[in-house]
Amino acid sequence: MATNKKSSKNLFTDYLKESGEVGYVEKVVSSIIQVVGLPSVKLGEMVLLESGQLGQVMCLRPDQVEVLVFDKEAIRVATRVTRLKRKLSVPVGDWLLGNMIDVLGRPILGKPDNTTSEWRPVDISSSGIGSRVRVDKPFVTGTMMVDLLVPMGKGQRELVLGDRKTGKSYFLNQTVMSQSKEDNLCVYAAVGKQKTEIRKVREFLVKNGIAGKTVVVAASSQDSAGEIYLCPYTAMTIAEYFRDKGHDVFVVLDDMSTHAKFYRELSLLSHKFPGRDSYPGDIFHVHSKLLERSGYFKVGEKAVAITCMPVIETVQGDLSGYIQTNMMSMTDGHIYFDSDLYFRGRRPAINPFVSVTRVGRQTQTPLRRDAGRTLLDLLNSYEKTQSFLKFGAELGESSRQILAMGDKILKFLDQPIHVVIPLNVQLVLLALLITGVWGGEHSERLVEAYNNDSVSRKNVDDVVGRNDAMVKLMEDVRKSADLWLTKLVV
Amino acid sequence: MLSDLLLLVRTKLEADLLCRELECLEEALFMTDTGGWNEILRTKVRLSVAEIISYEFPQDIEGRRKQLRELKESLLNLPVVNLTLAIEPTLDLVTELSNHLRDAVNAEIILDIQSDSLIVGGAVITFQGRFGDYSAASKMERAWNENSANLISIAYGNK
Repeated sequence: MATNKKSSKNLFTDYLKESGEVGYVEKVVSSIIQVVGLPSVKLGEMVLLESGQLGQVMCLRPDQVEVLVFDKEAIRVATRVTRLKRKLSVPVGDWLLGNMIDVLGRPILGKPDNTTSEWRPVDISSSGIGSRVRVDKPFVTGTMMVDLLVPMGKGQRELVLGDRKTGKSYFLNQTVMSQSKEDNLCVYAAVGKQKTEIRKVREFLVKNGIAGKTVVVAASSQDSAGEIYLCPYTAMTIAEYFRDKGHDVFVVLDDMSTHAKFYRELSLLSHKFPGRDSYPGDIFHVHSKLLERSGYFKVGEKAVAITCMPVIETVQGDLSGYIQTNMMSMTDGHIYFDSDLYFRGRRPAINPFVSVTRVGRQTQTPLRRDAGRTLLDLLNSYEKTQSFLKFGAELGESSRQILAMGDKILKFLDQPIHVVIPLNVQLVLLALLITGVWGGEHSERLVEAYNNDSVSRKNVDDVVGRNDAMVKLMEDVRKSADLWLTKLVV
Repeated sequence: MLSDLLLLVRTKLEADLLCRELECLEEALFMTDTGGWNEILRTKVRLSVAEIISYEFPQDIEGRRKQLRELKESLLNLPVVNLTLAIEPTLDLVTELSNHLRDAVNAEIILDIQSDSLIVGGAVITFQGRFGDYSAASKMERAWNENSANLISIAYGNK
């Protein structure tokens, strides 16, 4: 401890001599300190305190500088502060993969890397339209409900929202697993989560052998407000590093409602004028500036995606809240986790009628689009027919068939957490189900055959490849029903 | 008048001392005993300060209160040069430094002097957020960093 203090003091002295500028802490309010001095300091610049803490300049006033400190340790008034003469940046490199880091890029779990030579600024403006390309490749979440009904494209920003404990995290974990299997990289930003929840995410990644393809940026609820505020920016910076190296990256920002709350806290403490729900006027700008950094980009000759899923927690299913509507308007759609469906036992509890995708459908083949439409029609009829049941009406044969089919579909969409279903397998299974060839049980057997057996994979890919409409695919699988049943029924 | 008093202040210590004297006088304003003001001037205020105050301050309470407030405000806003020296400076040195700075930079400037033998010689100066290390220790360190190999070889004769 003494050595640390001594080394931080030496570091401070070195920076002080180099910058030739000093300031003194005049006032401390939570994570924000007011400093007098530092005459040439710039907005967004990093500063170092004599006691070893790092901070970022948030506001410049004629006689004061406002600094956001990334540490929870108490700061004394009159502590000296000096400039680092660089914008807030984090170390990046391949060593990040498999690591869990804090918001300043220091490993929490995993090995520290002393060979890092590249540092990237955390708060940058997003790339312009010239460096972007049209979203035209599908993004596989591995969850049938999403891939068939709310399809996504690579580079899309899809909001995930729902009440607490409705299975959002399971869905995100499943998507991370699906993306890792496709050899893409994932950055998981745990924004103000409890330490136990962060540990659970880490354990899931390790247990499924995908930790090596993910980076977890963690700011727990016990960290300072400054660290929690910075967390998604660090995650996006890391994603941009891997994007520039040519990797498709999937970013989870879990969750942005906590981020908004902490930003509100910081803004109120620094006397920014409060607006709706006491959030500052620039909350929309803060979030949209961050989300604009994801998308589908031209990197050299290649198109590389940063697909982003920000998470928002709703209260009692309220979708009309300030932050919820802000986020809906700055993303390319949203997936809504319905608590009513969750308590009725649906897994995942996604409500397909409230969920939206704005660019995902343009990445679909005609067959996939048709499959989605067919499935949605069936679910729609099921919901409508079910509403008649409430009146105790006697049902005709056709209504009974609709209900039976609806039940089968819901059972089919009820997907185990650790099973990731490839897109083509989803289509074949749906065709088999609707034609009545298959009852909807043991879908994982075909997935297993597809993943491990090249002949089965070829069969599935061929049947999907040669049909461009759902009716044709259904006809095709009906003709070769025996082939599929041998794979699905043991 | 105010400037006469401020000219007496050369260091932060002297500014604090004057501030305390002014606070004592401020308390005297609210004493029922009419001789309280003169008593405080005689017993708790330095002679040089007391002389200026007794000649220059108004006789009414409100006028005195206003003058005291203005004087205290000016004292708090005096520009301060933080100076770290390797030695404890003598009174003559402090006067010389103060006069030099007042002539060269600002007539109201005051010094906040600290001594730290680790800097060996020279001075470390901080003024209005600017920091300058003109100490012998830092010069020696720089010289060592630049020529350590040469110095070692000279010292051990391994050229």
